[in-house]
Amino acid sequence: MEAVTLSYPIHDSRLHNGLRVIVSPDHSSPVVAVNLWYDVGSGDEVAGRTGFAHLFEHLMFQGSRNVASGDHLGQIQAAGGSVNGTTSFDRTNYFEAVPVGALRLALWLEADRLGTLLDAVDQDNLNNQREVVKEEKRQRYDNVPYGDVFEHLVTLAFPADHPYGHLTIGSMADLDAASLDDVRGFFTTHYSPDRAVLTLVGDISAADGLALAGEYFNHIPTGQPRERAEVAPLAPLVDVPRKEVVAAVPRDAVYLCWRVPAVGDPALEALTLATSVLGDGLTSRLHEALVRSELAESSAAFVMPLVRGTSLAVAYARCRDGVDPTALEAALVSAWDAFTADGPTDPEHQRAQVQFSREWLSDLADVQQRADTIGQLTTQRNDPDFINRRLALVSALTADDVAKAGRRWLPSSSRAVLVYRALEES
Amino acid sequence: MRMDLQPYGQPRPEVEAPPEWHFPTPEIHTLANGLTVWVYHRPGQYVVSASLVLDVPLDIEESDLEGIATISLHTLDEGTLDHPGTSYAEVLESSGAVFGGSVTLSATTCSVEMPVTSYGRAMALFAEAVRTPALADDDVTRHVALRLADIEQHRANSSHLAGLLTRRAVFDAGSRASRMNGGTSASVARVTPEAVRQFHQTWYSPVGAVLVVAGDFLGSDPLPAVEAAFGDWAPSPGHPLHLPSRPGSARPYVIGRDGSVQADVRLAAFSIDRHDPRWAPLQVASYAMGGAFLSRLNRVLREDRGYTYGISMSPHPLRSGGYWTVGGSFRNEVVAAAVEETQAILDISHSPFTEVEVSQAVSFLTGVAPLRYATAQGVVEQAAALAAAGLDPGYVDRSLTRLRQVTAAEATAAYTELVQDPVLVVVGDPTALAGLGHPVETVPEL
Repeated sequence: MEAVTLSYPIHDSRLHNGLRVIVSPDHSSPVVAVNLWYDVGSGDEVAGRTGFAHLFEHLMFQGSRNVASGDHLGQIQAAGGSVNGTTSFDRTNYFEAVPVGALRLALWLEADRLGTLLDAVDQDNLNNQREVVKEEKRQRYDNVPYGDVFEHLVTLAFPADHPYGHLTIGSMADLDAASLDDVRGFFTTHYSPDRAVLTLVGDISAADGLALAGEYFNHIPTGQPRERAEVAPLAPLVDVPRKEVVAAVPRDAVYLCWRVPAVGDPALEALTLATSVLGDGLTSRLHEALVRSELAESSAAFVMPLVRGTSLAVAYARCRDGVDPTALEAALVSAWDAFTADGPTDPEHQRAQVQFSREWLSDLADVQQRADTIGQLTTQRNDPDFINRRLALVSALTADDVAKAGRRWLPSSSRAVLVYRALEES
Repeated sequence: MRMDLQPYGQPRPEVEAPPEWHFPTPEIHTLANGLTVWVYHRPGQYVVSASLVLDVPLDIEESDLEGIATISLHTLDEGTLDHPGTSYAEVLESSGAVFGGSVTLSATTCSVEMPVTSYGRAMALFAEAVRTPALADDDVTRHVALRLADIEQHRANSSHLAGLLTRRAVFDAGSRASRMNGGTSASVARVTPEAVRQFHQTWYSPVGAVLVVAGDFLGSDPLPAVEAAFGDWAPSPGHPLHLPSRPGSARPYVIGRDGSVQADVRLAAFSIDRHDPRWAPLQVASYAMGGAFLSRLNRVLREDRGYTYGISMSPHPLRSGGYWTVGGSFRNEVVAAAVEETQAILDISHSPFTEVEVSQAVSFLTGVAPLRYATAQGVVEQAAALAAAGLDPGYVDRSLTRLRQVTAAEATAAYTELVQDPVLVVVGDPTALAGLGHPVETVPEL
């Protein structure tokens, strides 16, 4: 199959206050995606304040000097746009996709909160959003079967005081402890134009995009220097740390995880292909060994790319009725060992590459995802144009590269194990 | 909210009216065997998306084998006559393509996405799975077991359970819509490989089917590959029957799920489909009541009270008939208060919708269209949904025009007629449900 060469235009500038502005014109539809990627996530939280970066993201929608509470969302929606924000270990992103005629409004709203959020935050909206976030935690984690998987996995894979040692959603106790002083401190430390990337993708020229960014953001001052400790890569796990939980889940299940290299290390791209061969699709090793063999009702493997020293690779399978999780883990490990011993076959490697290619092109087909990806690559690699080169890089990896990365990073002896046992129905 | 606004930065910009926009118009072809093809040329979309909407309404499933349409779809890509076993998935995946699909009440839809560079090859393989799947004994048997496991996962999930029981509450037991699309554990367990092969032979047919294809075909004509893949597909004997859905007794379900830290609440009622003249006004009214972030419901229950991560209202049109739902989940301590307040807000007899609410709703519902349909996948999903509902490709534009005409009086009138006497469905910890005035039942079999 011919390789596709990508050539998304990338116009990369910086305002005098440090705001990085990337404009990528695309005139195929009369919309613009606006994406602000802030270089702060739950990995920046301090002890006793887990969940705070995400709670803070909620407060960013509670008004600023010229915007009433909730009106950021309200005004964008009323202009025919979609709007939201998300928080993860490494970043907080805020985004709007609007008809071109509402681009100025989106930029003005973003600038108003970056410049004046603290004028509007008060105890009432902190209290309110604390309750909302606790409801979010209940709805998305605490009330869902297997909803605490990642809470257990990060505990197995990372020390408690590591940036990734706790989940972004945090704990109820820490959410309860969050104060207005925390809000002020977090905003002052982490939210400034020099710690953000503004990406505009859509029906706009590079010159107009940059001019508009300057018009709305130029007056916001640069932040104070921020101290951020370098986080050294963690060595692979040893002695197979293990945790068993008994929970209200319909079936027993086995989750495994590994410490793998951080974003930017070429080995991580090879591991993306490795986990694809192992756990993505009907031809994957795990599907063949576990699902087709009637041991598991589902299985998968994937890489969770992270920035600070260490990423996570995850594999899982849920038991078919009557299958013991010990047997399932043994079968999983056996299939895994066969892969790490010999690496992918040539056809497996070719499939993983073309599947990666389609998924990458499909993700980037959408202007919002394209803008978010550009924000990510700019923040994490200082290289927005990597969006055009990543495909070639992954296509150039050989089966041997993947085999080597698998052998080095994914031996079953470096795994941690989480086992769910289903609570018997009373 | 701050009232002492100070000038800061630039003044709030005015929003300029969006340019006129139209849903893309397809080339429409009809093959000799009756298959209709809608082709959308989408420049810059290098992943081609295709969906084949088969005229297989679930009304044609035998009642003791419900779920057979789902098992059939799930087994299609487990091997074909030309590529038995995993060799099919191997060739399909090595072309960069991915196979998928869905079963709704009115249609089975088979889908494929592929890089444009392997379009012809992937289209041929797609047709193989649709036309000549092996449907081998062990693959069917495994998918029956996987579907049974899937039902148990739904039963354990509070939100899924609430959604399924809402359909049970809203629709008459004689309507297929009252039960899961994928069948019940009792009916699925009866599905045999032979029955699946028979089902496929009888119902998978080019007659009444629509193939939607969208992408950037790099200057080539995509139709010859479709002709080559599907042109000699012979019609099958089945005569599909689409039965209208009917309202049920609206019996409430208050279900105890031990250990829940939140209760999933639904209020719902039988409603209308897209053919009803009140459809556009109902869309607008639902958005104002529970679609927008600052909707009447979300503004109070989330932003004022902090009772929930979000509460929403949405209309769900079927091919004939439909229902609307209000849904949210609330911590145990506030369930009864949340239900009471939701019901009070739903009553608009003293607070009709305003022109501002309506204009904001129309602006959102029409404004998001260019973005929603900017990708090949977005176009195909919408066009396939139209085909499944028996609608033509011009529907989106007509619907946007109609939305722009909706007045506050119309929205209020449609809402008042349609949003009455909702049925209550709640799934939560028994101790949290005591104040709801209904007996608490155990989790039913699905």
